[in-house]
Amino acid sequence: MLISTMGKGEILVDKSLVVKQDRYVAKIKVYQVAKSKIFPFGIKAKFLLHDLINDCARLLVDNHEPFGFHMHTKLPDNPTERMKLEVEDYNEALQIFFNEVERILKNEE
Amino acid sequence: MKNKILNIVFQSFDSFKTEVATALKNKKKLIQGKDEIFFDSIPSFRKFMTPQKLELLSAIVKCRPQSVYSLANLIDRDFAAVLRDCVSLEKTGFIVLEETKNSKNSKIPKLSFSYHIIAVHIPNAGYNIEFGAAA
Repeated sequence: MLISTMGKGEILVDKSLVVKQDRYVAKIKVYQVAKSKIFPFGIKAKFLLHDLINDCARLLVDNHEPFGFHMHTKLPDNPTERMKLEVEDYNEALQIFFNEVERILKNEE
Repeated sequence: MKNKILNIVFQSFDSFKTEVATALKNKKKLIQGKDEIFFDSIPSFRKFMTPQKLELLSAIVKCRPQSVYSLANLIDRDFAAVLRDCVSLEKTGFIVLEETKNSKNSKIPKLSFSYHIIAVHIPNAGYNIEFGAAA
């Protein structure tokens, strides 16, 4: 089996789903990396809700350096606006992302 | 030569959440195949895969255009609309927009892999619907 590493560590989860008719695609990408100060859980993650109509990120939770887990709350207008997520682990960050996706989908009904 | 198939699979958002959360919790690999695209429902797929997008896929296979602009000319549609459809098809995994190093920075639309058939797996129906891409 070919395992993609892309210099980020070993890929653990790579899965996407088109939701809300043709409006959004939810993309989950997680790499297992060496535990470090930057990645204390040994996980590098990107949870993205991409707007297919406007071709822009609508919601993004990730933990790239130098930040821990954070949510980009003002996409697509302000990609640098971040809210730090006080989470115990990556599972909690994933739940926050899913809850926010559901809120977005519900608000657009 | 065996026909390569791109599979359209349906999964509810709840099932997606559970599958991803379980994989992550147990640190178990969950890697989507490049030959699979997941939609949350049949209406989602029907709304997404318009006749225009199917025509676009067909033109990519048959005419191998070297840019989105030439693709728009081939199918006689507005460039902006074709670009929008191409980006949408790219983000969902039907095609790739390959970067070029020419002066116009144009992108070459190509199938994400050389599939011949798009198979739509209807849940609980016991049969599939197939679209020939004629690659």
